Amino acid sequence: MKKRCLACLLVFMLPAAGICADSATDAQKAIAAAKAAQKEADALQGGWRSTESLIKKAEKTAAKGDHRKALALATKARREAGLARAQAEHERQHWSPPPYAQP
Amino acid sequence: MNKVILVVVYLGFMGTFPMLSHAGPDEDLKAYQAYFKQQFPDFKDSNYLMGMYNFNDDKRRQWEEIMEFPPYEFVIEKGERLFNTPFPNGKSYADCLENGGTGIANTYPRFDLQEGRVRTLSMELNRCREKNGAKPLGLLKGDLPAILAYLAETSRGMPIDIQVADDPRALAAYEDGKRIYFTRRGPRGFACYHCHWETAGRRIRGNELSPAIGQAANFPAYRSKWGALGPIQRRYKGCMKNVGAKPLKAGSAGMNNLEYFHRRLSNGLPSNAPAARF
Ligand code: HEC
Repeated sequence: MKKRCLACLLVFMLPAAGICADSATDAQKAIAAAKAAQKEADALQGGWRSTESLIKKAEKTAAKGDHRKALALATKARREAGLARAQAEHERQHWSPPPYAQP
Repeated sequence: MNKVILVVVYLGFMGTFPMLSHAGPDEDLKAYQAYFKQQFPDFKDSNYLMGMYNFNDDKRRQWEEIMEFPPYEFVIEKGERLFNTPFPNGKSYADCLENGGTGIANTYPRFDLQEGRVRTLSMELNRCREKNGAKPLGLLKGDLPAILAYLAETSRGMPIDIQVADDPRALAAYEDGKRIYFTRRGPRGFACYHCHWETAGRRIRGNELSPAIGQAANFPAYRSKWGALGPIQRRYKGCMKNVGAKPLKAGSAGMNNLEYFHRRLSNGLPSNAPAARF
């Protein structure tokens, strides 16, 4: 009886552990991707501070074991870094003093 | 015949293009000064040097009270002591600087034609240290700003005089600083000019905004908020952070170019550094 129960438990827990491991690597991957995206924005002098805090929060959350939340934070950070990069690229092309500041 | 036409066309281009598309730093400055003249027709030099305190009587009074015993005085003294302390090899800062360092702060940053890049006075001091076997100092806090304060004091009242040499690299550095100045950054897309040109004299979150011209003549400045005297790049970082952007690194090429461009906006105004700010 006891053995059956244990076996049952194992059957149920194994996939759970698998999911855990998966979400942990997913979160780590997402954090790495966010950092890489932020680096690209920084290289154009265009990084945002909010992205920086999102990445830090994602790392802390992952360290605490809440991988789902960490994944969400890191994904948001990566998206934001993308916006910052797009802004910086746009500015490189189109920056201009306003008309009143032109000779 | 064809050749003649070519030459005529070519000369025509030479004549018009530089004026149309490549107005240089001098034309820029004239346009900038005209803009602020129009915004603040009654401003004298002293107004430009007073920054935000032009626009709020209470704050101006508070500031005038501070100026009765300027908080930067002791920093100047400290800077003078540091400046005059020789390196272990007997050499001193004065040996590295033009005119022994006296009356030159108003001409920095300069474009170094040998190195092909902008050199701030801070870089000049650190370079001197390294040449004499001392470690470079931190750019934003501590002894280096104090020495800057002393050197600025020796050029108080002398006109800010930032030169862009007739050299493509100097022009490129100036243009890079200009780009950084007019670039939108941070989540809400603020550029320096949104606040210090368009909104100069008006309030933003409880602060009246100083006009861009004149700002740089006051730096390094003692800021009550810092509880310390700091160089202008520390102030730039503050403004970048306030709009949510990751600030450029102090001493980076971008930051130095920004200083080159921004300080030139104050050309012709008497140097008023060090100054005191809230
Ligand atoms: C969102 C508005 C805003 C933007 C954008 C902004 N600043 Fe400022 N800045 C301020 C405020 C507010 C102060 C404090 C009040 C004052 O002195 O104007 C200030 C002060 C300063 C000062 C000190 C002036 C003095 O007399 O003490 C400097 C220099 C300066 N800003 C430079 C810059 C530069 C360079 C940029 C672009 C990188 C920039 N600012 C962008 C709001 C802004």
